[in-house]
Amino acid sequence: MWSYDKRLQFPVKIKNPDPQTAKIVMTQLGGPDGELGASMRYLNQRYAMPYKECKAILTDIGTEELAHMEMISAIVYQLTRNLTPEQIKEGGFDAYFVDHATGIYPQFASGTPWSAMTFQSKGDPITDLFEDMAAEQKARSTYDNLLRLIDNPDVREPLKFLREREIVHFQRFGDALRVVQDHLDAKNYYAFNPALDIRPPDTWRRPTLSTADLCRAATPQLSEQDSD
Amino acid sequence: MTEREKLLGRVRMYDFALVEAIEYLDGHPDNKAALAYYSDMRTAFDKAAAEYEDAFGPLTAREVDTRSGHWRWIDDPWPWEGEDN
Repeated sequence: MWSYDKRLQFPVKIKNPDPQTAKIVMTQLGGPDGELGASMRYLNQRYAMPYKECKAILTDIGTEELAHMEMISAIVYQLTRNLTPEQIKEGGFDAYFVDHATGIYPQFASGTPWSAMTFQSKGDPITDLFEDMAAEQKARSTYDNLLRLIDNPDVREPLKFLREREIVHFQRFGDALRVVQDHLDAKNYYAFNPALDIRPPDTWRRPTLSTADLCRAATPQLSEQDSD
Repeated sequence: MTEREKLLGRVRMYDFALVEAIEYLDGHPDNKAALAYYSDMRTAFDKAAAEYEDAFGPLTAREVDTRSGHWRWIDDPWPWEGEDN
């Protein structure tokens, strides 16, 4: 379960509205490399992860991404307060405005709504962790692109903080990949999928059947011979 | 900087140190230096959070002081509103 802290991870205090900037920053809420997708990616992937260190990393980073979603939403909210109809039209915010007024809706900078098709949960720890590391770099590039276009220091400071977090999370997923690979055969990491092919024997056999029961179930013809 | 911003800034600083320590410890669970750092930061965070909450109200819905006869959890400002929090 989760609990809520009534504060932002990093302060967001924007003095002047700027709908044009809101339109592009919004992509880090609901865009292809945004914080909503990041959180959903890690929090959904964790169930297929067999190793305890990596279950924790996916849970804790997935949770931090929720706090980043809140920061981006706060930036968009503050950039679109008290707008006049002229500012809405001049800032190119009119298309968004007619659909959502100034409500927060997760969408790409281009207007496409957020989609779960922006991420994978492949059920394979190595595949998922490589996706996660790539996702952190894609998010970092997106923050770089935003920082090229935005001059306002009130907006830049929280974006710079979030950009740094992408780099740290890339490192932490590197730790997770090392843990997974340490459990596997270094001569062939792809020999099997540890999410499917390794189960702790104590937990999957004992609850209902003994080993002898399982052998009999698998080879009924032998069981018949035994009973003769 | 208001008193509220000062106290909340300390909560944020120690919380950030904890987030960093937690995510590192997940992948290095037996690192003695990281465990000691986590422990120090948690002590500092608890103190900073208590000071903030005594002065400006609860940070979580499980730490509401009901003696005032008012459910302070709902009080503005909320975090996204860009006030001095």
